[in-house]
Amino acid sequence: MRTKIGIPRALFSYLYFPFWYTFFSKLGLEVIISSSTSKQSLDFGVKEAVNDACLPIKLYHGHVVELKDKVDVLFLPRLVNVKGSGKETFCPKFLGLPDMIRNSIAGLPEIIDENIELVHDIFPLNKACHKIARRLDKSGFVVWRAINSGKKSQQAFLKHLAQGISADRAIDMMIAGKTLQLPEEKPSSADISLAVLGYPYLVYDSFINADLFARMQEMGVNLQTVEMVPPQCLKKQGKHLVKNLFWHFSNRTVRANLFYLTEHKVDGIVHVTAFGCGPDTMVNKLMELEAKDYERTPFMTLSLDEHTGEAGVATRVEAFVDMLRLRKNKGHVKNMNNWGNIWRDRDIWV
Amino acid sequence: MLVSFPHMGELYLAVEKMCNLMAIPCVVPARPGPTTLKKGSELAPEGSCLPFCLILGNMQEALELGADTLMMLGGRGPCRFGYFIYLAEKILKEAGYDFQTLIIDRGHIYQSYRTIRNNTDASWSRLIRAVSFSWRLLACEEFLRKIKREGRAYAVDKKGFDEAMLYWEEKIKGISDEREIQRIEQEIFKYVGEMARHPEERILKIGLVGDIYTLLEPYANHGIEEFLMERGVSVYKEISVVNWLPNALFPWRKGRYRETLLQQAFPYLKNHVGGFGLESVAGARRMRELSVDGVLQLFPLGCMPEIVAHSALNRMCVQEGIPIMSMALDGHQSATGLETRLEAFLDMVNSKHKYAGPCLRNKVSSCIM
Repeated sequence: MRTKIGIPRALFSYLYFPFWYTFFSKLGLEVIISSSTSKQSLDFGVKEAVNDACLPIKLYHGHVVELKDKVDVLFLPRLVNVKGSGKETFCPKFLGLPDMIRNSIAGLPEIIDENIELVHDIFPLNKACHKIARRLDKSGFVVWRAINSGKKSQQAFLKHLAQGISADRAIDMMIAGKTLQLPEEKPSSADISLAVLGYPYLVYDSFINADLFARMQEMGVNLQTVEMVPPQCLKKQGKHLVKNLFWHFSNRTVRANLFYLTEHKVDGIVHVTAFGCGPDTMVNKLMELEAKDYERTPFMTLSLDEHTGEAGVATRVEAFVDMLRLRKNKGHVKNMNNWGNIWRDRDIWV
Repeated sequence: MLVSFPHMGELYLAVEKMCNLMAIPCVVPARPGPTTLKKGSELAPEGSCLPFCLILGNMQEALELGADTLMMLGGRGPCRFGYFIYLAEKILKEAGYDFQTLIIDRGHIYQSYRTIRNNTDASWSRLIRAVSFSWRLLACEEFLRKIKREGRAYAVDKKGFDEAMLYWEEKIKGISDEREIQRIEQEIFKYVGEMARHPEERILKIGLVGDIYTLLEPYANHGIEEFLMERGVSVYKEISVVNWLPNALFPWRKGRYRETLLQQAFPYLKNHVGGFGLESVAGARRMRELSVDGVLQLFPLGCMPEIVAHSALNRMCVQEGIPIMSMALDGHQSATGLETRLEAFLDMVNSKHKYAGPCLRNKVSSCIM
């Protein structure tokens, strides 16, 4: 019987799952991913996690609870660093994640909690992967091959994300073994382009963000995400910050914000954040100030919490999109390129 | 140039002294209080932690007092603290204040030094002398506080003890000579050595762990030390600026320091999580060796590293039988909720100390409380 390894569909899985899926599959393991977030995972999470934890961490707990009786081994890596510079790390809760899980949930199977620290080393990813493989009694050439196929499927996955496909869907398609059919470039009826920025585990989790993707597309909005920004453009934006933030995902979000404000102009920006997220209190303020500086681009913060009612999110998003339409039409009449002045004029006369 | 800086506990005494020695004009804002909090939370982003609100409020007060230069420590994360000054600068400038910053952080040291040199006539040697003296002063002051919070419960003559401490506090404020510091320390040692005291078994000991700002700033923790001391509890607290700052600043001390902490925190937390998360877990473990009766974890609401530590402490409490209570502190004005919880905790710990037998210590006898 093949060893079953479980990966929760939460937090970094939304970005890095394909690599690990292919890696473990090629090693001859059966990979089990928890089902998409549901009311049940939220309830489990709220019950098990420390009471001050933020929403995504609670969800992670919920997914682990769902998996723990179904698998032989749980893969809960400790992400310390994924970019070579060594200056970026992850939020403290990510750094203590396997410990939090161990401390809060009883009756867990074996846990693989290797540090993923891709810095100050030659072939750091290979080393980390070999370490993980050794825990599963695998070694040698097969590991090396598994890493390479993992990298390939990860690249393909990132390409899908860059084309605007939701990570949740891309993951499901990959598990089903289908190659994703890209939606054909139909003449889009979208008249508004909106950047929906935030951490992948909030933007792509359709349960917790009340189906934001589908909702916006229905409203005729052209969506842009962090993952759609070419990596080199993202990196280039870093120099505009006084000091880079310490958190990898936050840096990506802030830089994408700058990108959409300067290089690839959008009509408005929606920052998706979770209630109780520590880094986001700073990220949100930074983004807001930047948006204000660059021609007063409309900016909305969408804070998600344990509520499961969709009406709140729907109302806010609809109102925001309506405002953008109104603003755009007015802008056409006067001077399209100089919104800032128009708004200031309005401020005086109204 | 008129320098100012936000408060953290009694740190201002040493920093003010340092500025005076370097002949840098400086102004100290009022100690954090309700107005500081109000000012800070008006500008601070939603959901930011209490230390940031208070620091931001302090900065505003300082700028209103006429300061044009703000001095603060930076950092490298992953705790939010390292970004405080950068975000505060942005927010305050947005709000219309005009000032420059002196940031003590990697990559900013030289720039800060240039700013000082351009505006005053402080030389390298003067700077080093000032820093080393104020460091010595800070150490002496923290030593006195340690004696005060740990020793007051032991003193038979509480009034005399308080008076003696007050006397030395005043004296330390006026000190200007390194030899004098040594003399005072010896005096304190002598006094404590000769003091008439209660036997150790009768004293209830409570350890404090958590985030440094909350532990050091009395307004942020609603004066919890005073509260415990009044009830005859000996308060143990290992976190202090003198213990921590060298380990954070000097790379050659960092490695070994972290290694020891990781060892002490072992099965509960296996990685550094930024801020004081690891220190809290290791500290709670160490408190057991000091035969402490109970541990309190204090942290501002939403503090990321302490939430991780909280989960570790929850399990440690059950597995190792150390009574631990975690308290998240927010901007509440009233301390009643906190006091009720504290009193209940003290009652529980006290009855355990009295009747349940040797859980953490060997000898059990009646308690003075």
